[in-house]
Formats: sequence, C-alpha cells, structure tokens
Amino acid sequence: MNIYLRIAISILVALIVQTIGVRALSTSIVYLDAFLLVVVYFAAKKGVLTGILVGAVSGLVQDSFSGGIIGIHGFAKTLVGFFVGLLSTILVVENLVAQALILGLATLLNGAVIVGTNYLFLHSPLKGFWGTLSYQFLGNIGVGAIIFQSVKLYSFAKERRWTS
Amino acid sequence: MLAFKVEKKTVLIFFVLLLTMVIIMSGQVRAPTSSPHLANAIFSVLSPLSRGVHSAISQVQDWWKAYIGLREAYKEKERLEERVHQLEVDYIDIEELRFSNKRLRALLGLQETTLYSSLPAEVIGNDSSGYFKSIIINKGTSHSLRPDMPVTAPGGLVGRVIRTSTWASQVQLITDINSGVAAMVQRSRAQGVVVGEGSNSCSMKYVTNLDDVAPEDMIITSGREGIYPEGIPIGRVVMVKKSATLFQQIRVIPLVDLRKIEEVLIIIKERETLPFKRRQ
Repeated sequence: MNIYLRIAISILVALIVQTIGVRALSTSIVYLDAFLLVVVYFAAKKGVLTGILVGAVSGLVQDSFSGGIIGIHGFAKTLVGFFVGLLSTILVVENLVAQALILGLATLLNGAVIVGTNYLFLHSPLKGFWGTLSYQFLGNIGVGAIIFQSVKLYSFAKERRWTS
Repeated sequence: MLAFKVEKKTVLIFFVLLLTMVIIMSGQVRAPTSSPHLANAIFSVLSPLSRGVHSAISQVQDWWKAYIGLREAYKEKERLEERVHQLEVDYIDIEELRFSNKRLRALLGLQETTLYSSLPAEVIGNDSSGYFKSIIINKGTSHSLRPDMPVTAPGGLVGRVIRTSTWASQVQLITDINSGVAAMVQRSRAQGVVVGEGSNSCSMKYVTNLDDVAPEDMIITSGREGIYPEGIPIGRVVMVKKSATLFQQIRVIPLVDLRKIEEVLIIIKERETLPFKRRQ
C-alpha cells in the first residue's frame, strides 16, 4: 500500500480511537495518545522527514478536535517526530526495549511541550497534568509496544508467505 | 560520540513547520475566541467521519440494548404510563402557578423573562487530547449553531460551542482549563468567575474574603460575560478557604456529570436578546 495512504488511514484510525473509541468503551480518562503512536511509528520506521510531516499533520488534526489552542499538538508532535526520527538513526527500533524507551520518551516530550506551550501562550497551568501524563505514559508504552510488535510479526509472516 | 545524520533540507522543513505552528498559536492569543480557518476546515472535513462511525456504533449498541431490554419493556411501559398520569396532574399545577406568576409580575411591574428555545443534541465524541476537556455533538451550522452558544443539560451548565461544521460542533466544557464563566452564589449573590481545573471540578475565582460563601451553596451563571444567560445552575460549592490574598479559594463540583454526558441542549436564542432586565 502507498505510504501516503497508510499515513492517512493511520491518522483517521487514531482520530476515531481517540474521540469515539474511548467514549464507546466508557473510559473517563484518556489512557492513550493514538496520534502519538502514529507519529512515533512512522518517524522510527521512515526517518526524520516523514516523522516531522506526520507529526505536523496528525497534530493539527488532533488540534481540530481538541479544546486547546490550535497548533499546540501540531507543535508538540512535530518535535516528537523530529526527535524520534533522530533516535531511530542510532537505535535498533525493531527491538521491544528500544520501542518502549522511544514511546516513553516521546510521551514525556509531548506532555512537557503541551504544558509548556499552554503556559507560555495562555498563562494557565494544566491542572491534572501529572495524572494524565502518567496514564498516557503507561498506556502508550503498553498499547504501542503491542501494536508495533504485531505489525512486525504480520510483516514477517507476509514476507515468509511471499518467499515460500 | 553519537552522530545524527540529518539533511539540511529536513532541518529547514522542521523549523518552517515549528514557526508555522507558533504563528497559528500567536494569532489565537490576540483573539482568543477565534478559531483558525485551517482548524475549522479540518474539523468540517473529518467530523462527518466521526458522525458516521458513531452512528454505526450506536446502531450496534441499540440492537444489543433492544435485544436485552425486550423483556423489561412491558414492565417499563406500565411504569411510564403511571408516571405520565402523575405528570399530567403536575402539569396542571404548574400551569396554574405560571398564570399566577404572570399576574403577580404584572402587578409588581417586572418585565417578562425571556424564554430561551433550545435544541437537543447527542454527544458523539470526546476531546482528542487527554489534556483538554471538550465534546463533539451531532448538530452544526445546518441546525443554526454558532460559536459561543451556551450548552446545557437537564442538571445544569455544560459549556459553550467553540467550533462548528455543517453536521457537528465542538463544545468546550466548563471543566476545561481555558474555560471561564461569569458566576454568582445563588444565596448571597457574591460575584466571581468559575474556571475549569482540567479535572472534573472547577474553582470560583475573584470572590473577595468579605463575600459570604459556604459549602453546599449553589453557583449559578450571572450572565455578565455576555455568553451565558443568567440563572443557569453550574454546580455546588464543596470547599471554601480564606486565603492570605484578597480572594477566597472556592472549589465547585459541576451539577452535570460531564464524564458521562450523552445528551445536551444548546440554547439557540439570538444573543441580542440575552441580557435580562429585572425592572422596567
């Protein structure tokens, strides 16, 4: 499948999961940042340029469906895409520990940029920030690692089927 | 030493994107109520998708509920019939009170209170970020919705519309950290501003240490910011603390459970008619 189509579908799935999926499961706290998983996946897999572009687009989509100032997630996700892209040049991103490390760092960077930018522009501290960040830290690492490993296994199985 | 290899073109694109985001954010700081056209466009294009997926999920949930609830339906019907009879009796009493109220208001020279027409809507989605509090509803500009329209629920105030598309709108909840509602204590009429705390509670700010506020007091809208009409219940005071500064620290729990809200009412009366006049 075309890379652009894959990115577009991934962002749309993240939007559905984040706005409707969480609601359908009657979960009151957002344990997951599905957009962040999309950015981390493509940045780690395809490098810095894809990372920042996916980060900017998915961040703006997230902003459009969020109550915060528009551009805050775009800014944070572009930074995340850049740094994950850089990390992927020195880490073996197929490794489970490396994936967990990258997901954890990406969640912390994303949260720190959002709280910092919100304070800088609106002078309002994000109350409940640490709670949300802790849940997202665990949720993103857990769910992200499962998804990334599943995609890896699927790709292996597909390759084996082609070669046999 | 670690060496990162990044092309100059990539670094340039990175800084251009960051600068673009900063410019978009700066524009909103100057005009906080405006939402950039880009965000409105993305919301307009993608909200039908959310609406469609929500409809599909609701359909499945409805089928399941219909299957499970069939056995209870007959019992429920009988109970509701009884309730309707009771409400019919109550309605006659209320009508009587309404007529008395109208007559007495005329005697006292009070102006007729404006009645607001409202539009029901269904909540189809949550905020896409864990850090802010908003909901997506299934009514938009095609139902005459506009930004800044107040949104309520049977219990009390929910928030205001911040973004609209043809078929869906986004509502900022009163618990969002960027939300502010001009409010007053119903009992003592002490004025303040109810701001969201980003969790499931709010705080009431700018109430001086001299003002009379106590736990269990009801907080209602004062209508001073020109968005929310006066008199809508917001929440109850759960904590009051006198501080060393001029103002008290007051914690308010919203009357509506905003985490579980499924239906809302949007007040669609024209804004020009909002200011309430008490006396002629």
